Amino acid sequence: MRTITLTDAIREAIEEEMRVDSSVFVVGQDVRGAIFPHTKGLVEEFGTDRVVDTPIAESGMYGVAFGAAQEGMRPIVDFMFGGFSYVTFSECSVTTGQYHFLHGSQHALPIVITAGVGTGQRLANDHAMSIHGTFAHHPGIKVAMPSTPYDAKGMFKAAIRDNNPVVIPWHMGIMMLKGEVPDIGDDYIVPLGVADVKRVGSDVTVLANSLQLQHALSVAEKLAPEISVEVIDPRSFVPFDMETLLTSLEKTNRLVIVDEDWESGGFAATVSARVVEQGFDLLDAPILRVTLPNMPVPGGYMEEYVAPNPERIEAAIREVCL
Amino acid sequence: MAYTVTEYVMPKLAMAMNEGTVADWLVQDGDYVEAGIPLAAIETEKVAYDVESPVSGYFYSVVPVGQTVDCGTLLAHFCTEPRRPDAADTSANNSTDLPADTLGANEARSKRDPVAPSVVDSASDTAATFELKRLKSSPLARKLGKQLNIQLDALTGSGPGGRIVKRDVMAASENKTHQSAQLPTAATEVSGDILATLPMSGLRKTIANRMVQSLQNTAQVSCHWESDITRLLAQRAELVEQEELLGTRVSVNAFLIKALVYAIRQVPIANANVVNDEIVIHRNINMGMAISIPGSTEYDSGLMVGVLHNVESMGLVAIDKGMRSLIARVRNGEATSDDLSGSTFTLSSTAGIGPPGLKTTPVLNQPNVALLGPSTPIERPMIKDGEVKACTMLPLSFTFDHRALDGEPAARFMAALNNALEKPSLLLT
Repeated sequence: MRTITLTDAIREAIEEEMRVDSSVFVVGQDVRGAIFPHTKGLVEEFGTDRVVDTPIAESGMYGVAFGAAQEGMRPIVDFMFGGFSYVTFSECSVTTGQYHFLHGSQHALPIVITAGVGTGQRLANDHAMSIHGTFAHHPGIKVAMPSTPYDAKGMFKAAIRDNNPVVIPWHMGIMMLKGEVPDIGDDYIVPLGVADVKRVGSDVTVLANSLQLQHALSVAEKLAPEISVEVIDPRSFVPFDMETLLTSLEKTNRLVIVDEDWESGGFAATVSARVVEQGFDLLDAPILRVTLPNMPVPGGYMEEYVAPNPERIEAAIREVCL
Repeated sequence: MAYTVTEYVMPKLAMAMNEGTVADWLVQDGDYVEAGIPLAAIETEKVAYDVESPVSGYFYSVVPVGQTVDCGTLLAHFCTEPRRPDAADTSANNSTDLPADTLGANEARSKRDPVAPSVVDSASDTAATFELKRLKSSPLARKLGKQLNIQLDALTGSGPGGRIVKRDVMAASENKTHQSAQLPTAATEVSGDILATLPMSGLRKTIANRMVQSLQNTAQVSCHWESDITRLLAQRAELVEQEELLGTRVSVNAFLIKALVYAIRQVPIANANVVNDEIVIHRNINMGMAISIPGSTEYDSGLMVGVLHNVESMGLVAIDKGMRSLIARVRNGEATSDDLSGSTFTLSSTAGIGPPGLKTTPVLNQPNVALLGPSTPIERPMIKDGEVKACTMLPLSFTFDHRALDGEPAARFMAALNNALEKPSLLLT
């Protein structure tokens, strides 16, 4: 085991998969220059044919990936910032998600879509928003986001090997988060669709991912003397592991969902509705959500006034535990 | 304020009421009706009720006078504006169903259940059955309540806004386990033939719930003594001789009620109800009388409390006649809602049924704070003025709610009652 950063873990996953499978390639803007460290050094090893820079023209960039996938390649499309995937949203959500269905389940479309997302860098708007909830709304696409370096490497490998389109952004707020990862050559995957209990507790379940998972864990540690908090990382939003969540609720009977996305129509709302449908009798208190208010993410220091944070998570936990 | 519509449905006023007839609307369409005013005359097969308006609003009837409909059927609308609602208004989410079922319509019950607006619950006003009361409880608490057989309406919620949550149910369950731990375990399998299996439902379930609630929610103290009724019986014998003239064979119970009126005048707090954390002492005396009624088989019987109103203003003969006709109405299922509600004191006699001298610990008929349970008299040698005399002694059991009154007034009440029974001329005062 070594201790490496989240972005290094992603880079290792891409490198290792590119080495064993020549159909895997990366396409994006400045992926050669590696604005973000997860594509650093790729072009030196794999050359410009497999690490493709494009102009700032997302539709064309995604078109390259889509066409390649139709022809049996396994592209990794990097939007740099998740918000810009919306420039070509019709192609990367609607057309991509429906492709397999519309072709009589005869043709797979193994595309991996990635991008940096989330708050923490004070970059505002398109540069700071989350995309997982929007993609999760569209059928036919798997959506996941890692919270630790270990999960990042294992989930990216699983995504690249998956024959379905997979949207797997990573959170910029934890890009330098360090964690233990198996040595190079110790191949492993973290399967998509499996949640992970990151901390065991008995009074309340907190569902949180990426940067917000780190917040939830710090709150759980702080509250440990008075409230026993179980922290679950969904890891995948589609498919979502309801079983792990319901099993936890059988014990805790209370749920707080932290989701760094807008409140309206987000992943947190979907989970909340499903729990009411499938686990109504398990609840001893209303489900509470900690999300972004329905307004654009502001830049600079103002970001901290809208983003979910440990204080808001603690307040929600205390409220459901009244 | 937005235009909203409240639906009013055929209320379930009695255990066995499945349908009812709108005998009369007591208000006009378009009238603004205040909550609590007489709204309609509703008739069932056996009883006629005047029902009160549960809410305030502009009234628009849906079912015309004379029509018979099932319980729960929409009868009328109460609107926030003087406009008859159209289909769009009533299909909207803002309509609120009033509870059609105040007695638990979901329970299957036999047609043989006697009709009554409230069984044993003699003191609750029928109007109160319309109270828009919602028990706040978490889904988990409700599920646990079912699993552990805990009645949630008997619990006090400790969650936000008084919500009953898991810890409340678990605490109640622990209490229950604690209590039942001292009881012998029920045999689950008994060999041999079963004579009869009686469903714990309908009237039986209502009685069961109310008895358990009474024992769980009050501080009951039972006391026992015997009163010498030798002289009272002699006076009664004189009245019995005049049976034809009086039109009734005056019973000992009528004397007992007169004696109770005397004792209540001395100690008024014995004539009280505990309602919503208040002790309400009544000026008039409405005597609740426990009346056994036939059960659904030859092996069981039920219990209802009939109420004889304003006994303080009645003579022995009126009391006796009133009592007899009340008992007949209750047993025949012809009781009106008045006959079964509003008691301020309870009389529960086992005289003539129990063995001579029987003492009991009667369970309070909530919300009454006191109950007298006389039984069969017994002949005893008593010392009177230094001499042994044969006396007829009436065994009396008296239960009072120590939440409402203490030992001192209770003892004074019993002494006054004893005095009146032993010196029946006091009943003339």
